[in-house]
Amino acid sequence: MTPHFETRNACRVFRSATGDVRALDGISLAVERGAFLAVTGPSGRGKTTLLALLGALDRPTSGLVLFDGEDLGGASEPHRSRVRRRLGIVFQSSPMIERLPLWENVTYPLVPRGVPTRERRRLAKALLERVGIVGRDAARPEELSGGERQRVGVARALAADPEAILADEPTSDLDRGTAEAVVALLREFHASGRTVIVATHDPVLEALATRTLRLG
Amino acid sequence: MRKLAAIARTGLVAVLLHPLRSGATLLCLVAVLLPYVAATGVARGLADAADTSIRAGADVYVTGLRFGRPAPVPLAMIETVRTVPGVRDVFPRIVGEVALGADRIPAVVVGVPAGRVPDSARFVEGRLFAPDAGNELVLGAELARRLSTGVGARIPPFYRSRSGERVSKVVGVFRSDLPLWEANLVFCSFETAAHIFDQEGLATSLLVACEPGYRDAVVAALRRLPPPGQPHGGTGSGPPAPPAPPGLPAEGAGLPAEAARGAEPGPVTPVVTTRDDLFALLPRGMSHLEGIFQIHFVLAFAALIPLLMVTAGLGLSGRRREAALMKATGWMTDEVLLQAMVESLVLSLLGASTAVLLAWGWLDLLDGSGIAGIFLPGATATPGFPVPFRLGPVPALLGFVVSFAIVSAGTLYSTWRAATAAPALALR
Ligand SMILES: Nc1ncnc2c1ncn2[C@@H]1O[C@H](COP(=O)(O)OP(=O)(O)OP(=O)(O)O)[C@@H](O)[C@H]1O
Ligand SMILES: [Mg+2]
Repeated sequence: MTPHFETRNACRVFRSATGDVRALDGISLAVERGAFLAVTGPSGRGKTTLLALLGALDRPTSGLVLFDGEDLGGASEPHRSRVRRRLGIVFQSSPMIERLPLWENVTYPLVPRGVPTRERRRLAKALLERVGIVGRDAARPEELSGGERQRVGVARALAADPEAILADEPTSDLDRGTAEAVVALLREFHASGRTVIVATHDPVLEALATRTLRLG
Repeated sequence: MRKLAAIARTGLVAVLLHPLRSGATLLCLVAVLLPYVAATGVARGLADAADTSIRAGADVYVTGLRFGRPAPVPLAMIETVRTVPGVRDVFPRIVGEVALGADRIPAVVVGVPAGRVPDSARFVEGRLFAPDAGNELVLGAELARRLSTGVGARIPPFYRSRSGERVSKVVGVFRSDLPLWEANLVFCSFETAAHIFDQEGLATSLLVACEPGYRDAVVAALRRLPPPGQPHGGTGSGPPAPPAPPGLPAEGAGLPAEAARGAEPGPVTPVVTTRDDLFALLPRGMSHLEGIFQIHFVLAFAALIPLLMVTAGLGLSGRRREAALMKATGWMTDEVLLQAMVESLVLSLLGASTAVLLAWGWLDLLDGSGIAGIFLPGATATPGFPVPFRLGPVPALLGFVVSFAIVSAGTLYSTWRAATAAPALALR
């Protein structure tokens, strides 16, 4: 069976004034459909970089990155956009459109799919409740704590009902109690037969994983 | 379709999302569009008013030339013109300049026989001058205001005449919404005007009305007429005299002083000008000024392109992050561009309509202070009277199209750059 995600000797080198940084150095990896992969390792070892390659947010300097058996590195921009449309991505830095209310942010990925505004509002409210943010749909991102932003990021990743989730340290800013809501969501998502890849230091998430990849 | 509408809506919201950028762009647009829209509005308004007054005027005008300059026409010519087949009516008119009051305010005196007053001149406070009543004047509203005079007031002699000066009486004042050039008008009977200028037996022009369908024949016959007092004819059709002021077509600017006195003047060459000649002349004068203004406008806009590019780039790092986030969450590049396009469209539309609205306020409420003078020699920086204007859709549309081209060029380029970069790099 074709792996859902695959890398073959993938390298990512960042060129900077102070010299080249090898963020990823020849990673080969196959993630089957329905797997739960935890990517661990010390800071700066390329967890975020690997997730960016798998999520078509970046291209490898050398080597291959495949999604559903198709090369992503050399694919056209529209093709990569279509791949992203099938994924839910939780970013480490929880970027948001700062002046838009939370409900808009959570369901912004649905705009180009033509989902009506009322439907988006309803969906956003339900998703925000799932991550423990209740009655604040109209709040702006700037009013949130770091942990709350992180949970909004998780809600947004789930909005488009993706076939896989790539989550970059989704519980890093959360206490055990609030992290539990996120963990439960990922567990449930995985239980429905879909693929989960998380970069994490969280032993609870690591314990959920069917596989662990340790970088560095 | 629903998808496009949804994206368009986010573009609309984006205008409010970046208030600094939107505000600066709007300000730039209005700064350039406002003078443009206002100026073309005045130019068109004047052309319209001139058009109306030519339409209301005579079919054919007969004026005179001496030394190649405008000269009065002897009244004796009236009888000659009347005999031309197809002529329905002929009457003389005097148009001249005087200075009134202690401030020597320039005014244009127009004298026509009582009973020949054009319909357009019937809107007066008080009444029109009576026939044979001697020095009854109807004043333009602006002139009456500047002279601080009104209906019933008397004006001491302001001219010298061999038959003796008389006190004049203001019997009427034009309503202020009359065409511009009537603002400084002194309207009186032909006899009064002849007395004021001390010119018996002369007119500045003859106004000829033709039977339907006879105009060309009348013009041809009039051009073949011998100059008065010169039996061995010559063809007398020089170039038509430049019509100034508009609305009082084909006249010299008053009576040359040397023509007024002295012994037997020589023959005058008649000049025949038709209504169509005036139509051909007047708008050209207007659109010439408008053209000059357009050139300045293009230069101003060219200078503004870099400025608009800068404002379009305001908040660029934020936009770059937004575009990256949208791309990262599954938007296609063209969808991100469509959003930016709608945003530019809304801004240009807002800019153009704000400019039209402000131009209307400027011209209607402020009488075009500062801009009317470009088109109206004699109008001061603050005209103080209603300036005719017409705000048509074409300048507004043109302004909008140009703004949209420039704003969207700036916005689309930066958005395209952001949307095609790897999202991971902008989202770190
Ligand atoms: N755009 C970039 N330019 C230069 N260097 C970069 C860039 N992105 C990442 N790096 C470098 O690549 C290496 C891997 O970074 P990455 O963010 O993948 O680490 P990480 O494992 O996710 O760390 P953390 O646990 O702190 O999030 C780091 O040394 C980082 O400095
Ligand atoms: Mg990281």
